[in-house]
Amino acid sequence: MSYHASPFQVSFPPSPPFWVGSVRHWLAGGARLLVVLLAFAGGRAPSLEANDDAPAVEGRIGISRVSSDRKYELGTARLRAAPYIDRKYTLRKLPERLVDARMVRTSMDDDYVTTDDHLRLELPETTEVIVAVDAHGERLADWLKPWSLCEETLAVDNIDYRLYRRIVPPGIVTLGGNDRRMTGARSNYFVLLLPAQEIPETPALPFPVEQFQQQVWPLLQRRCHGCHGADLQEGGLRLDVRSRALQGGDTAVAIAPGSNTDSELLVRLTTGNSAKRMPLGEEPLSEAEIGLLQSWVEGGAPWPDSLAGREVPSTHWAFQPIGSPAVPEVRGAEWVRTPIDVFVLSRLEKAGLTPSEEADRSTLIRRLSLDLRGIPPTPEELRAFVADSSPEAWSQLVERFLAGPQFGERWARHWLDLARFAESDGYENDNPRPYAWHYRDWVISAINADLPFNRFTVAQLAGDLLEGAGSAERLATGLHRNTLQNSAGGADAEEFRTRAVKDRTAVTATIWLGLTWQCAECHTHKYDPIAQREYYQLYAFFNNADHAQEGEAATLRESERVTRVHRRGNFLEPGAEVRPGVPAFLPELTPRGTRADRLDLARWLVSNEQPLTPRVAVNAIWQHLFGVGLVPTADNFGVRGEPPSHPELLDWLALRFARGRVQPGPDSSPGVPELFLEPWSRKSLIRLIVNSSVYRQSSHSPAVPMAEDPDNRLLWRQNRLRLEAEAIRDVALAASGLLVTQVGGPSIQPVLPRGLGEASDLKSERFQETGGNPYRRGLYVHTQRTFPYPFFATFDGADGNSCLVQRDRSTTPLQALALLNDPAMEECARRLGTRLQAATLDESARLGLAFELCLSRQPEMEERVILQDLLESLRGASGSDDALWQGVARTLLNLEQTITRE
Amino acid sequence: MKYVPAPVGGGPTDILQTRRNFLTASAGGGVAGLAALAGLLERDGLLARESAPASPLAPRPPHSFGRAKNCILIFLAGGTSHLELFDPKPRLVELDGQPIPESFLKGVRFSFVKPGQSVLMGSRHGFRKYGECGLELSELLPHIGACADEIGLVRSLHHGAFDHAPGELEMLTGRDQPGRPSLGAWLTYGLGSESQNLPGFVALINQRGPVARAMAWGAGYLPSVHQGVLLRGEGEPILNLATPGGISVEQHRAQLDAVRRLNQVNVGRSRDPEIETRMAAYELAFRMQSAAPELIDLASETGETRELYGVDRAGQPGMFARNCLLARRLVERGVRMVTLFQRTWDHHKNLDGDLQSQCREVDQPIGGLLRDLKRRGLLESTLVIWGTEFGRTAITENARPGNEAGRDHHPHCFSLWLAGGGVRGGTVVGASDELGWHPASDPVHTHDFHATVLHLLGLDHTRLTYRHRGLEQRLTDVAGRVVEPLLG
Repeated sequence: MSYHASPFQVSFPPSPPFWVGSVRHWLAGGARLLVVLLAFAGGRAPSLEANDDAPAVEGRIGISRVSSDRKYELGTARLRAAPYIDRKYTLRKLPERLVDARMVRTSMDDDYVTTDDHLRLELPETTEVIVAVDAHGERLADWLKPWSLCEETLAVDNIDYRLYRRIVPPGIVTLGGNDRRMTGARSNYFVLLLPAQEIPETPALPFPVEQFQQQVWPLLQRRCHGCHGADLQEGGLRLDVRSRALQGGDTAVAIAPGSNTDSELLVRLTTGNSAKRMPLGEEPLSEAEIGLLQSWVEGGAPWPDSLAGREVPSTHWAFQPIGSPAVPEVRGAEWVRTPIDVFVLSRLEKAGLTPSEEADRSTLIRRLSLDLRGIPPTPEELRAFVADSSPEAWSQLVERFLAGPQFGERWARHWLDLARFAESDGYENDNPRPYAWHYRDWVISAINADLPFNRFTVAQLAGDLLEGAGSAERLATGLHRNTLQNSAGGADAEEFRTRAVKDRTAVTATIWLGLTWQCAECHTHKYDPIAQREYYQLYAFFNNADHAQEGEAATLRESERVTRVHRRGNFLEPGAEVRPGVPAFLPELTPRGTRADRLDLARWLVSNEQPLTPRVAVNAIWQHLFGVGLVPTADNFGVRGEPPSHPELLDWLALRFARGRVQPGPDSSPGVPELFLEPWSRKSLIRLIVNSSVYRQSSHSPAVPMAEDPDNRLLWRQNRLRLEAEAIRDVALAASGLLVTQVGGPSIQPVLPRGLGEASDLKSERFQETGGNPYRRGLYVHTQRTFPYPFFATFDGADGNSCLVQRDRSTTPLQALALLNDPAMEECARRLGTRLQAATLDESARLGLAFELCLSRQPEMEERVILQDLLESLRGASGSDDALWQGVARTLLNLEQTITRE
Repeated sequence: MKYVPAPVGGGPTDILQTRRNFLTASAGGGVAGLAALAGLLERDGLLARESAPASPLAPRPPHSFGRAKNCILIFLAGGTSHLELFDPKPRLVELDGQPIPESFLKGVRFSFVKPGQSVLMGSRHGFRKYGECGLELSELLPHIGACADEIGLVRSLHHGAFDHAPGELEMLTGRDQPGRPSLGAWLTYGLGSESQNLPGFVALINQRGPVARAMAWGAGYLPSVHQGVLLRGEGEPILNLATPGGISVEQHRAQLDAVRRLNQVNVGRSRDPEIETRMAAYELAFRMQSAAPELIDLASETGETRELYGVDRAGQPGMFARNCLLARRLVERGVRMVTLFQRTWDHHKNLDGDLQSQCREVDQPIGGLLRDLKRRGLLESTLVIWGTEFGRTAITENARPGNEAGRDHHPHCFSLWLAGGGVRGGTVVGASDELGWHPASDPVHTHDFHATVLHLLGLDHTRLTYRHRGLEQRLTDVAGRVVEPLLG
């Protein structure tokens, strides 16, 4: 602390010692003003002037700091004295014992000070400090809360003031601001000072333990356990279990036996801040109830063993170990091709439903081709399959599609949605990331090579930490380089770094654990058993990893950073330190060294004991083959998510996905063929599912089961699904013969609809045709975060801003306009028309080819009639042969069925 | 032309059927151009409403009686200065050139300024009392001021996002991070759209659009049918609206008829109701092809109206004025939400000069819009909002007070106003402290602002929810209270 030169310093030593001796004479009045102000940090002299009316300076009490530039002076309290320097209000009521007390007169206009260090008084001896506060104030400044409220009051003009007192030893006492900013006091406080005896030592009486049972426990039950009990632990605080109550919440100690002021429980019961006062949003506790809790805490907070309680582990299904359910008995065994069918049929039989018939062969090959490759079958593939009635035809088709390079492209796109893959930074500047496609290509090749999911996981989360990590492993870590990055001028680097770390934490939790982790960022999770502390334990794994891009090479460096809880999620409010760790409701993580790192986390995620990863991964694959997962809320396996429709099937699949098929055994029902499953093999799992009878059902919706189970939760049919944005484009490109099948490499920037300049601002030029073949698959279209490719945005494409577990399948008029008129679609229609026209076929056969190219089937009679009508109308309208076949092409590319996987 | 009857009968399908016969008949007339057809379809509006009960954009009743049916949000991005425009601070003028007291800096962050090197700056522009209510607004806004008795002004808005993209997202989606639906998406989700020929939620851009771009009118986690449609003020008003060159109206119609009939065959086969939704979407698309060009054709407006907005003024103002006029035409045609963007308000330097020219550009069109709505009886049912992502600091940036100085971003306290649509005119809600730094009374958080806007449109912000990630999501998160004094 330094004292600034001021006119008053003459009478005040530059380095004043603390005063000694009697202070009676200054308390008796007649002392002259002594004000020394601390200049504020800006270095400017305070604009204080000497007050001529001030009492003489004499004596040994001083105002050593006022944090604003308002005047504060010493005066004497008596009736009709003015407590404010800038108002004429006077004291109208004053308790007898306060007459002639010293008074710190303040400035009423100094009324929105929020600092905790506003006014410092230097006191020569033990003093009773009394702060007079306008009784109309709706909230009390935080610093005043622990002070004792006096029974006596005073009045200024006709306004009552409450008095808060505290006895303080000689030295400096620091008072905060009045905190009027929101709904605090109506006017500034002022201060009265009285000499005091030594602080009385009043040892707290021990609290009788039986009174806890009779009074305290019922009170806690009635007023606290609703939010701080077994079901809900707001703020991480649990008050129905002794050990947890004494441990405290996320940010403070709730109960400090023997000390009311250190017990957040009591502070929060008595605070004047309604946003903090407990019980939140309810009637406050009565004075008697608060008094009871005060004497309980002061008396050592006894809590008998009989009511100590204990924490019951979560019973939520998803957090339990994966079971090994037996394959159930069913009646309709002839329908069964795989164990999957047995589980599904068993549920259907219980509900009195029967499965749908098998889809026709052209529907089947189009479905499988779109699901496994994202493109329709060629007419040759179609005709060959429709003609092949051998029992092996289907499984051979499955093998061919699984082995083709388009399989990796199709399934990489699903993964890239989760990985919030994009090729620009996002936020304001949204700079391009010219090397991001290397990660995309790594995903494609890993999936094509069927890299086991456990290794696929470890490579992406901690490839850099593996022994002998090479360039492939470093590419894999691109997963978490996909975060948004703000390079705008005013961005606070630390804020956006912590935001990126939070993003990595949340994305990891969503992809592998199926949990909405971000809820626990600001407070303990409302529904799932994730404490805020545990959120930051997971955060800590990613807090030390710094991603960078140097030319083509991506680098990941470890740095030393201490992780602390961010109170209320705000990085500017660090709380307790935490170490990397996993939540208590899941199996333990055993680190390799003393401190767990990302590699430990990645291996834990795919360890045998951890039940969520296999369930979540199996569900994601199921979702892509049926449109909806066995757990419909694929992004939420927590308490608020929906339970699985077929829990035994999910566990049966999850166990085999994670461990592989150990041996043929009790799984097999009579007539169920053995299907060998490689551990963590994506292709094996897909092979198993698409070979099932469940997958091969028709997607039509007859009336009866629709009434019983309209959402098809029981899987009495397949689902009809509108294709994803990329697949719609790829179907059109394939039908028109334009599709280029080159795998991997830099992204392409297709032609935009006319007139996008204003919306796209300066970024639009990145979407011009700048080389690269425009006819490559949708997967390769450049993803600019703030300017998604309009055609994809119209069809619910992923924008790369957040982890996307389920895409929407909306139906909008803009989609109609895009399919009818977008330049890319226009070109496809034109080229398809030319292709039809060029085919040396008669008109009827051309129509058949058109249907095969767009819908993978021949038209039915009724449809031929409509097409003949169309040809007739078009001939009437223009007559040109080009226009004729381009019209047919445009019509077929706009059919609902063309953009639907049936 | 033959008509193939659909094999499925009963319920709404039959009404659709009737409607399709009508469509086919009109197109089959041979002479029916798109515009003529659109006219017939417009008269057909009531039928269209009844025929698509399952449409997510079908009009839905509000939770309670709200006087506003539509909303025009004029979002002047960059951060309009409350200190110059809406919140007179005589004490700040007195303190001009002085350093800011330290107590104001606690907990406050800046984008660019270094607080130790900056000084307080009072407004160079005066304030005037406008209207019978005597509302104090900048002398730079005489046309808006003339409507003061319609305006409810909030002087205590605050949030914590101090950069543009997060600030825009905070104001437009209720959260400073990507992924949430914008206000307009919530409105069409809650209320549907009255317009059968135009989208329910339209965005317009003048010069530069918002930093958050498509997210500013996005649907977030709501179904994408609720995303705003970016309408351009000139040329093609909706992307991909024009039929490709070389395809005549007759060919186009013939193809659409074939699409409809072929889809109808599949309705009978697979019985998936989605097919009919898709067919309805094609019909609206076709109607939009006719209705949208008519919408932007301002030739039908009188010279007096064009003058009211300043449409034909030379230079930049004309374009902003055109968008304001378009906004009126849109709500007149039943569009639920129009958001008008202009990002030219980020005055880090040269505040005085730039503010004058910006105000000249927007004052008359916005004032004209309010008056035009009023005289047409539309203001009562149309909520108009002056929006921005934040205000500006009481301290200078770049220079000492003077012509070159500007102000930094200030989300801790700023102003905006609402008018019409059930807003109590001539009111001021909240006050800032004497530096315009923090709210001094009745602070209004973004969530409160959103709760109020929804309330004015008859929606209860706690009941307008959408299940996403296993949670019932709201525009106002878990907070928000309606600002009662703003309600008329």
